[in-house]
Amino acid sequence: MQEIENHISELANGDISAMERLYARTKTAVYGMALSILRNSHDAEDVMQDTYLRVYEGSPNYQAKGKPMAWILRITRNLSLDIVRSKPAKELPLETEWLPDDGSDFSESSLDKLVLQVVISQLDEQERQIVMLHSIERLKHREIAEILEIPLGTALSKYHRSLTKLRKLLEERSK
Amino acid sequence: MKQTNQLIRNRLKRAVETTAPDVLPHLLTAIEEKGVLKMNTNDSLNTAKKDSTARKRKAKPRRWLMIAAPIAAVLVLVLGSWFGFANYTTDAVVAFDVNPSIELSVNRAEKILKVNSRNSEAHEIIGDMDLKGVNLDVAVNALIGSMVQKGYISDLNNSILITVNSKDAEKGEQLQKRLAANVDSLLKGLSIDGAILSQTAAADDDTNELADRFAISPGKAAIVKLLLEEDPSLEYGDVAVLSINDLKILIEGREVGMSKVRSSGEASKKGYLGADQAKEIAFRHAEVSESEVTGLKIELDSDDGEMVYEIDFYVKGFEYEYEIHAKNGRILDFDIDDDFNNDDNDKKTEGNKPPSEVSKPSSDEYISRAAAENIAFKHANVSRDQVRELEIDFENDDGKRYFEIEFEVGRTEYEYEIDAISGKILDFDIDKDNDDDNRTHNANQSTSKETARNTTKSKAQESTKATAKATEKETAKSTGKESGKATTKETEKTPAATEAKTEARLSAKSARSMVLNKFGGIIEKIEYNYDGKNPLYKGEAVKKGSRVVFELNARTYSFKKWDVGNDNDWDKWANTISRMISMDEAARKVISKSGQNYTFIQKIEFNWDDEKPLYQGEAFYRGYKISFEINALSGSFHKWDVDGGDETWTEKYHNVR
Repeated sequence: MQEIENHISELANGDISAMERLYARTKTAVYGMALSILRNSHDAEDVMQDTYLRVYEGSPNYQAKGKPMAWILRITRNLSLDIVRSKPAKELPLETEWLPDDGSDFSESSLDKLVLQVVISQLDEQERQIVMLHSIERLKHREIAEILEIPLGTALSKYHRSLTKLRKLLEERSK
Repeated sequence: MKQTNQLIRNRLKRAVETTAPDVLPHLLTAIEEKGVLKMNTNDSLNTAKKDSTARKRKAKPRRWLMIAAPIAAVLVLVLGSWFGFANYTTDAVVAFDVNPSIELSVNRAEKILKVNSRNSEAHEIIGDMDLKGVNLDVAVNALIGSMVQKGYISDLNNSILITVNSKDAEKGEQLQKRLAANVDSLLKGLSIDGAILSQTAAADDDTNELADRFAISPGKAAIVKLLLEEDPSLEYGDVAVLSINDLKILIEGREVGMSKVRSSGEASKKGYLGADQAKEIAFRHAEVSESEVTGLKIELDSDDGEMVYEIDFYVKGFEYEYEIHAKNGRILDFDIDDDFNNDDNDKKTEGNKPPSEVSKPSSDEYISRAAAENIAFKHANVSRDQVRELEIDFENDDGKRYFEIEFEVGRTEYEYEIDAISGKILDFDIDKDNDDDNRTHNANQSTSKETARNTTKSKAQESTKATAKATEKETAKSTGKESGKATTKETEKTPAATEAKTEARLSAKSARSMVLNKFGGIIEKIEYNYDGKNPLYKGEAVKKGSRVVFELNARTYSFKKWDVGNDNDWDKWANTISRMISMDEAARKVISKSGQNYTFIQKIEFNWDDEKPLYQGEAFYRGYKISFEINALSGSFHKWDVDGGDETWTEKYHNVR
């Protein structure tokens, strides 16, 4: 995490190239977070760009507390929730690309995609966020609870429930 | 197809990595358009967002303490002017919260006009008392006496909140101070050291609504709101039901700024276990000793309306998180995870064990995690030290509570379901995996699968499946893998026995020399193991600008893999390397300290830990296993754990010199 804080500090000091390093280090988690809330790749892409602009803007005021990822992901989450609130539910339908394929393709990339599809289409919003953050960024449950503003116990139990659900769904599909 | 948690997580991460769009070019353009980097935060963001889909968040509701012209006070004023008789006019409302929440409306002469019991505890306190017309001080005396008598205020729960809502701010403040002093004096007279929070306040609609919903006074509702603004991870409903004593402890722990709330005395923690006892419960359950523990964090918190200790610590690369009931010591939740979140996680991931995820509601009636593991190991006829990729989940499936245990030995993957209460094996599954690279969890190998249910010894079910994989050719090339090879359990067990009759293998020292002679630089890690049929030294070495991943056959003394790629890690270490002892010196120190000249350094790895360079690894000699850490600068040992009763050397390494 020190590495990310360094990048933010460099950004604050005018080193624009730090954005490339920060982006490379954090883009998967940021996109995963946005996607887990929005389930729409276009909106998630917008949020991704806005997140980094906010980070850029906020970098001079960022106070290093050892939790830069939590700060960035909170920005992503808030921007994503803004979109959810601003659009009627019917405008945020599940994109067809997240509907699981028929399961006949066993290539590695297809199996990876299947997991993402099942996560997006079968878990609820909070479950998706928890699983994404733990899988992608290896955040501690305590940190996830802080970012999502939920009790630690909720984060823990939802994580385990989600993984159990995913295992069952994926095993059923591969039978 | 078998799905493990780690496999799912890895797949998900890869899938998101692959699908994430590249917005960097647009982003950099947007930033460049904004000109100077350091600029006003709010203005610049608005101009930069071309297609911003973000909507302004609603402003947070202001703290009710800061709102002028309180509704209640206005009502009081209006009513007062209507009646015109001071004696019947509410001059102030005084609220007392402990867990009982009681409001007393008083007139200008401080006679009680109305008593409002906010919750059932308050009804119990008031009982048959008729306080109307009684002087406020007398009423307070009666109420405090009743709360002590009924056990709501005691040595274990000594905190009380007094909120004065007066139409005359100055008068209200004086009343607040006087009541706080009176209550303190009353409690002292009853041999209780009270902790008193007091405030003058007026409630807004939002606070009144929350107060009504959770049957507390608006004064307590305001305190809860302040706390939640400081710590959004708390939930209103959970915190609102806490006693003032618990709330005061949470406030003190978080150093919540409450400039308008006066506080005297210390909230009692006598009803809590204490951090030391909570820590002991966690350590005992995790089966670790305090000397092994690092990064210990203990925090008193609330969850589901209960006060809990949240305990966080690390042992040998695993992170433990416990939630323990602060009063009765029950383990409410726990989780054990691999420490992937380390700052240098990218480097460590490959060498780390997989996560063990365990969560269960209570420890009392269940067998321990270790006991469940031992049942599985015994049934699988394997020893703990042979096991890799151990992963444990506690499952609660429609009331059936069991441990799901997954691990690998050699190229065989085991999965067990062990009843969490009886220890009975509910299910097990053994996959014999024919691919040479076990760590990649490839789903494309030929497998022979043996399954048994409910401990019945059903015959192995053979199934074979072969799938294509784009990246497989490299593995196949490097390992000379035979397609459709039927590896059996017996094969897994034979290497050591076979080795006993064979000649000595390439020594660890010679292996290191061969790598350094061929590559230069330093070895970052090197580990001796079987890949199923060959004894191999596997590892990585780095030098300026490059890194090599190697596999060296200890039987034929030839390199089986030698992949060189670009790498800049050397630059990070260059200044320090010249001051460090070499890996060979570190190994010599281990052998010397062990007192056995045949001690075998099975694994040694160079790592940076908190800016300190370390050599970490494992070594074996007859009957013993050593885990060590050496400071690469000073050469001193940071860790030296020796486990007796370990037969790994005899079984596997006796012929390596």
